[in-house]
Amino acid sequence: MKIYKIEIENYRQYRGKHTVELSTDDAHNLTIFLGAMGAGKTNLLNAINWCLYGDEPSLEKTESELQQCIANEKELEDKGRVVVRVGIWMGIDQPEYFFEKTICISGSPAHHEEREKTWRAAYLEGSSWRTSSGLDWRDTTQFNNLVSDILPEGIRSFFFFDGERLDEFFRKGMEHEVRDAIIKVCQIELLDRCTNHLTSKSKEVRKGIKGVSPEIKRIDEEIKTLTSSKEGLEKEIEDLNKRITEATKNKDDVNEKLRKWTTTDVQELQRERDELEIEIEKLNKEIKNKEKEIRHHFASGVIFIFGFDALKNTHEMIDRRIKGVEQPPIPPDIKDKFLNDLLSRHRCICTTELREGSPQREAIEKLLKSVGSLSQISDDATEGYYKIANILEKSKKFKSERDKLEKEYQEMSKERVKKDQRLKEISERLKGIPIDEIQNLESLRDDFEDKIRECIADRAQKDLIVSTIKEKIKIKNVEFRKEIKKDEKQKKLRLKLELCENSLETLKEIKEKVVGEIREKVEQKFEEYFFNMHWKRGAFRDVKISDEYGTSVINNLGSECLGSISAGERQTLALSFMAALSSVSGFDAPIIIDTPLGRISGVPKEKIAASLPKYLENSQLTFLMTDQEFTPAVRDNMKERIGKEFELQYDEEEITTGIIEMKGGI
Amino acid sequence: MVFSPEAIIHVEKNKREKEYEEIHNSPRSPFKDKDILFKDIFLIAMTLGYHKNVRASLKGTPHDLFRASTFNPEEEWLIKSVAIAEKENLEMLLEEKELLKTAEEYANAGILILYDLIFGGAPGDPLKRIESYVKDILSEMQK
Repeated sequence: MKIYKIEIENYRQYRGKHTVELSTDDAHNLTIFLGAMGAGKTNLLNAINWCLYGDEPSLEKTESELQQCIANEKELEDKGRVVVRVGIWMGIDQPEYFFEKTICISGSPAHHEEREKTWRAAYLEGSSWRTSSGLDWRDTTQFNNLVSDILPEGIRSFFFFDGERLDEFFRKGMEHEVRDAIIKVCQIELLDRCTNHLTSKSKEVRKGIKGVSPEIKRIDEEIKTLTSSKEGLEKEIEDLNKRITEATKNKDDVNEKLRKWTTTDVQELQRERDELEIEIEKLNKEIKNKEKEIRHHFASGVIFIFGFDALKNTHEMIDRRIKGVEQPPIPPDIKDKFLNDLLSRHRCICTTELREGSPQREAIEKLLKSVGSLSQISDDATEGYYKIANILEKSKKFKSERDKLEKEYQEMSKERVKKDQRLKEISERLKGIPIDEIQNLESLRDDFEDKIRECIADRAQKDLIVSTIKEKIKIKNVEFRKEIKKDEKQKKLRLKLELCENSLETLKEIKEKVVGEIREKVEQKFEEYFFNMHWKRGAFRDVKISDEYGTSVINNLGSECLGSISAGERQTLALSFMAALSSVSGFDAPIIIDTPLGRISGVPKEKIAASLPKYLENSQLTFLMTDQEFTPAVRDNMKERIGKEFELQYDEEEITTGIIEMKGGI
Repeated sequence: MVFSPEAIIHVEKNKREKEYEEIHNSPRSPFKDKDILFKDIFLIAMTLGYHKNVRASLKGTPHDLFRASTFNPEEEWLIKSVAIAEKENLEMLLEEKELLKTAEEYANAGILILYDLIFGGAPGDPLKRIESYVKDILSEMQK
């Protein structure tokens, strides 16, 4: 699926009517829009989002931006009434779908009013267009359904995105973002809808259970209270996740400003802080692993220390029996198998016949009875004898192993304290620079860090309470079912309830299975794209997404190195992740990236540019780039795939942007 | 002899909900780890109970904690040894029910000591507090 044409009229800085035809040539699948900061690159992406989904996701930055008028301000000022319109033509081999949204704005830029809103969608059937249109903005079902067929709203962010924000996926504490992205790609809304329906049905059934024992009522009340606390907490966790994402973005913005500060002392302090933070992140992971190692070593070893006397005692007991110091001996002098054989052959080794009821046979049967139990424990005790000897030997090393682990842990902790101390010193030095803006930025950064820390701690606590409540609900549900089973009158309701709960359990299992499989597919594609795009293939061995949705990059020495990869490598990783998500989603939609090389400088930028043509070579790609990104070297590296190039020229006085096609290249 | 597939380890229901739950899930617990199972906590409680020589039969509603077949051979021999030491009789190896009952009863008393060691309010690392109980054994072993 490609975008053939976009028409923008009076939308933000696009005054008047502008028509752009993107490159739809498979061999030259890349269209470039070049524009300075504020020229309208992001708003081009916003216009597409606004037309198809009714929002402008890249604008959710500041309150003033949100209050801004969607209409071109100059046009509104001059005419007092403006029609804003965005139209998009899409299709596979030709324009087959058309989407259009308009809104009429009147007043002035400061005091404007939105009047009529209209939408129109059409699709090609044979050689004629079938349209659906409406004046009632609230009823956009047909329009939305048609958009959903092409690219559902939930996954559009993997096709239309801001390159500068990409590496957020791989920052500390952002595992939930990776998880959310994978869940979105799974397209399991239907399962979620079924789950919600069954949950409310289950609640209804419970309400219908009347005339029950006080015990059932009590348990039911407990389940209700627990469920409502769980739901409340889950909402709070969702809110905390949003706050963490927001504060992390804000902190990154401050870091970026300090990195680009005009004086080198500030730049260097920030650079040192960036490196320290990466090292601390790596160290924290190592400390966490060491703590885990200590816990495991302890839990699996201390039981044998506590039980040392018992093990030693059993070992000595078996030893005495094996040595014949104690009776009966192990193994027994006569084996039960031997006696059984004699009885089944009806003949003794001395050739005496062992007839049924004969005294000889009875004597052997008596002997068999007495050695029977001994034979049973003999093999077990002999095996145990060697096993216990092993355990006792291993247990002797427990203390020295534990001391060694503890020492390693202490050394790591000391190292972290040192690094934390240096971070504080850097912050103090920045605050000590007599420039108000730096001091303000640094104190803002402190606030964001405090907020992130608080939210993460709060989330961890709430996560824990939720998992405890879930466990309690599970136990209470079992109790509830047991109690209600006692009451025959409630049989029908009980069966309904069981059906709901079993179905919910099955849906949960299906969801986990689907998400797990998709995670694996994304991981596989992620790795494939990363190694396809990366210019130093030999430097890395593996790219993984763990069961907990943490990302790791393994270098050629087998060590985790996500924390220490360069900005360029990080961007390659992020682009590969987005490519994996869009590819696994199964939707063949165009990909539009705002500032794909935004944070990269120098050689890595050119390297990524050289790899970019390999990036989703079967998709239509549109890059919105600044002149710092689209350098002659970058252009040279991508030129084979470039189909069309446009320049966005902003006129500050007229508050308008012109879109100029550069036929011979920019 | 390995434990039969149908053999189940029981604990008191209220201890499953409080002591086991908190030791397994509280952030203050050194055993809050997705790879440390109820089985591991049960074994620590059992051996602690055995070491402190406290044992209590299960009261109230029993709760099925896990299947005995999940014990590995070393853990199995630990359980057997505790019961053998108790009865001073190797023939105990034939009495699966009795072996597990002894383990459950030591764990039933031991879990309260373990809980107190972790959440009892004493300062410092709970692992070190637990370890201090076995100092004498460790120094004996070093010799």
